Amino acid sequence: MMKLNRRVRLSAIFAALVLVGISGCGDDTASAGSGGSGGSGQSVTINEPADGSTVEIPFTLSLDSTAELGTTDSGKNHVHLYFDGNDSQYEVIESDTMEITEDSPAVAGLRSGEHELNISLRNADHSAAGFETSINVQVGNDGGEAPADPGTGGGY
Amino acid sequence: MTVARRRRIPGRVVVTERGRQGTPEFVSRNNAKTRWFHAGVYLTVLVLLFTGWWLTLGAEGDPSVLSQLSGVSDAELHTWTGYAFAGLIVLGVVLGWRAARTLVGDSVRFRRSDLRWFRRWPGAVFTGRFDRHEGHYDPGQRIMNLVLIVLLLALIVSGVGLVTVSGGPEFVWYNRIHRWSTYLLTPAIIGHIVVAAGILPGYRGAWRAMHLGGRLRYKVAERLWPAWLERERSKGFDEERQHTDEKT
Repeated sequence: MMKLNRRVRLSAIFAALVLVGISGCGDDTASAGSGGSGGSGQSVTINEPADGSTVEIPFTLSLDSTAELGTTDSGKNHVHLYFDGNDSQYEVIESDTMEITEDSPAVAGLRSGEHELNISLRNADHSAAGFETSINVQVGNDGGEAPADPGTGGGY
Repeated sequence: MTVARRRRIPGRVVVTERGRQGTPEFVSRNNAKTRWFHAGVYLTVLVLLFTGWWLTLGAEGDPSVLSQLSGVSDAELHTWTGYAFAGLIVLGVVLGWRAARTLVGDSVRFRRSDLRWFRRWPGAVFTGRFDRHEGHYDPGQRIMNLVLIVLLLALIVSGVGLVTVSGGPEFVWYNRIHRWSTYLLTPAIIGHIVVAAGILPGYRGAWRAMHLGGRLRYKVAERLWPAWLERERSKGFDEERQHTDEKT
C-alpha cells in the first residue's frame, strides 16, 4: 500500500511538471484555418512572384501576412516555402520579403520547368498554423531552358 | 590446458572455471530492464541532440541524414522523438519506481570521504588508481547523474511547453530554457560518453556495465565500485559460489 502511494505520488509529481509545461495553453498565435482560404482569419498572400510567372534563381519572395512574422526565438509565426509539396525541404521566411538564392534548401536540386510553389504559415514551434497556399511558377535557368533529363525533374 | 568455460549462475555474479578457484571473472551490475531503458534513453537523446543542433545551427529546412531516412523534416523528427523520450521516461519512472528511487537516492548521498576521491580523480582517470568510495556510484558519477536528471527533466518540461503553446510570450521562455538546457547538457553528455566508453584509461571496461549482457569484469568493478562489489558479495555471491562448488 505504501509502495503504491509512493508510486502514485511520484507519478503525480511528474504529471505536475509536465503540466507546468502545458500551463501556458492560451495560444495567442495563428490558429487553424482551411488551406488557402484563411478560415481562422490568418492568411498569407503571395505578392511576388505572380501565379504563372517565370522566375530565375535568385528571386524575391514578397508576402502579405495577417499574422506577424518573426524569428522562432521571438515566438512569432513564420512561413515555410517549399516546392511541389515537399515540406521536409524548405526555406524559413521570417519577414514579408526575402531573397531566395541558390543556397536556399528549398531550391536545392530544383530543375527548370513548371513547379508548384507552396507557402505554409507556421507557428513558432514549426507546427502548421492552418494556412497553406500555392502558386504555379516556371523556374528558368539562364533563359529558362528545359533540363536535359526532364524525367528526373520535380515538376508535374 | 585451461579452458575458460563461462557459466552464468542465477544472481548477480557470473562465474567461470577460473572464477571458481578464486574471484569470478564477471559481475552483473545492471539488470536487463535497466540496460534496455538506458539504451532507449541514449538513442532518443542522441537523435534529439543531433536534430536539435541541426536546427540550432541554422540548417533548418535542409534535410539531415536522419530526416532523409525518416522522410519527415528535422523539426518534426525532433518533436516526435521528444514525445517518445518523454513517454519513455514516464514509463521508466512509473514501472521502475524502485530503480528510479535508488538512482536518485544514491546520487544525492555524499560523504566527507568522497573529497579524497575527488582529489585523486584527475590522476586516477589515467592510472586507474581511484580512491575508495562507499557509494553505489562513484562521487563523480553521482554529480553527473544529478546534472543529467535535472537537465533532461528541464528539457522534457520545456519541450512539452514549446509544442503546447506553439508560439507567443510563453514560447519565448520555454525556448530559452530548452536552449540553455541543451547548451549545458551537450558537454555533460560528451563527458559521460568519454568516461563510459572507456576512452580514459581509468574507466576502461566500464561500458560493459550497460552493454552486451552487462558482464562487467570483476577487476573493473573492484576498481570503480569497490564498496558496491563487497556488498554484492556479502549478499549472495559467496553462497552462490559455494552452492555451485557443491554441485560440481
